[in-house]
Amino acid sequence: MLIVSLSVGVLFSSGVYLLLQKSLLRTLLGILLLGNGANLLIFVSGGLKTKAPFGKVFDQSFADPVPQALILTAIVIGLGIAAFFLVLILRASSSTGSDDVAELDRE
Amino acid sequence: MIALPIILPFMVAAIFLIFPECQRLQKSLAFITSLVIYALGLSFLSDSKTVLEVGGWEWPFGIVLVADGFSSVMVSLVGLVGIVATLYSYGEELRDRHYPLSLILLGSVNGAFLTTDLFNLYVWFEVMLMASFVLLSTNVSKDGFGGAFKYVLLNLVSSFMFLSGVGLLYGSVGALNFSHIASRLGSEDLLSVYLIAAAFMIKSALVPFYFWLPASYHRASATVSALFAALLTKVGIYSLIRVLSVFPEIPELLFAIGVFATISMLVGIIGAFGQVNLRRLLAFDVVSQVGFVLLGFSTGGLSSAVVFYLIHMIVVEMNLFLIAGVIEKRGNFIGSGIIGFSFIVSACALAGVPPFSGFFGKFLIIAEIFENSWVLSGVLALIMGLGTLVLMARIWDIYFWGEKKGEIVISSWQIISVIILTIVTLSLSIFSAQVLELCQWVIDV
Repeated sequence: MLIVSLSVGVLFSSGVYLLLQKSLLRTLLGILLLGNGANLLIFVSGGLKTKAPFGKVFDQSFADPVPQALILTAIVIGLGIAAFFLVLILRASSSTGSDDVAELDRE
Repeated sequence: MIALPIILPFMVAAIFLIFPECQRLQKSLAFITSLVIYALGLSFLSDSKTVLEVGGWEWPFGIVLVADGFSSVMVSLVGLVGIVATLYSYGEELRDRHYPLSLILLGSVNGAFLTTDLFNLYVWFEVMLMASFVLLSTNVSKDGFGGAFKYVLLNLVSSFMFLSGVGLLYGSVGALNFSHIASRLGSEDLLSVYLIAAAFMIKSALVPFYFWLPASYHRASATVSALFAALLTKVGIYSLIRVLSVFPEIPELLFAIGVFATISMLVGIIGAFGQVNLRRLLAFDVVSQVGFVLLGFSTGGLSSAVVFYLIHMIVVEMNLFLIAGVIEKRGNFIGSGIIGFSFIVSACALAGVPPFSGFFGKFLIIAEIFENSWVLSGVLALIMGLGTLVLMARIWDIYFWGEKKGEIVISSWQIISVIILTIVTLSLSIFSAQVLELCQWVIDV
């Protein structure tokens, strides 16, 4: 539990660090890390249980299936967003000819 | 029935994607779809509350769609916005896939208005953002990527904040439905509620989270920026109001929103004075209006005046963006009397000049603000009204009294769509008593 929680923190902090960089590609990586951090956070907050939620009788030792469903949805959405963001920075960098965020606003 | 405002636009958009060549078919179908959404929203209003438990999963386990008064009003406004935007787009050269994307935008906004499930709300936000990302970034010129980039990045950050908030909240209360969460919410869950509220504040472009809005709106085509101005920030405001009015009252959070909202009003107006680009100026004004309505909410709670002002904001801001699109296209001078008249009506309504609709909303909200002894904010709200008026007079001075440059041809479709919104503004003003009664009924049921 502690290790997973700490890795959520590491993912979030490195994601934010990368977002603050000037390079376009690093912002993409930052977005990816933040997304994974959020997914892992949901996973941890649902509780780390080892028993799979199958069968007819449930007690506290079974994993909650709802966070897993939430993460599945969030991963799919994250994939779509990452793909879109990649295309956006590709077009942006090919139009400005550089990987620098500050170049985007130059008119 | 209640899922139809969500499903229908998506199905029609799918058909559009299969037949990308038939522009004429797309234009008429997009219009009809918006009309149906409008009619559906109005028909929901006749019942006090319509509920759909999706897939037969009962409350509180499944996703529950609820069309109560507030969400029905918002859905019918989405329909109206769709109708007007489609008509306006007939007179504009648009990129491919404009219609499927804008229908997806309308459908997802309807989803965000109708759902009562926090995670489902996140999904609708994402769908809406994806549609708006693509609408914005396919329309930008070569040097416009900065705005699109800021828009995408800040909204993604807000989505992750929202997602983390939902995850933490589910972890501690084990519920996702608004009212179910509210019944189990304890004082130790406040952090996640703050995270969610901050995400909504980014989406409704409240200072200090507003940077994406003035950077991006004016980059898109006129139709797209009017759609954005009418819908995007309103979804954030609606969700914030919805969630916070269901949850037990959190005075600290409401106080923070009130402070941010007051600063928003000021920053929006001051920022607008520094702008030369017309739509960018209006975008700053959107920020100040958002601040005003959220100030009203944070001091007086969900009142009929707030609902009324929200309706008024959607109509008037969209109309101003449409008029700005006409002005920008035709250079500095507008010869058409109708456009001038519509501008005057919308500008006065926005600034809150009696007898236009903004006056009634502003009067009631400012009265509430003073009643709850937010005196400084109330005074600033009055000053903001004056500032808006001065801004509008400045626009009038530059664009309507400027020098004539050549012959002006404005597409009649665009004039028609501006006229429709002007008529709606005027009827909001004339029948304000009835509309306010409706708003009171809306929040009572």
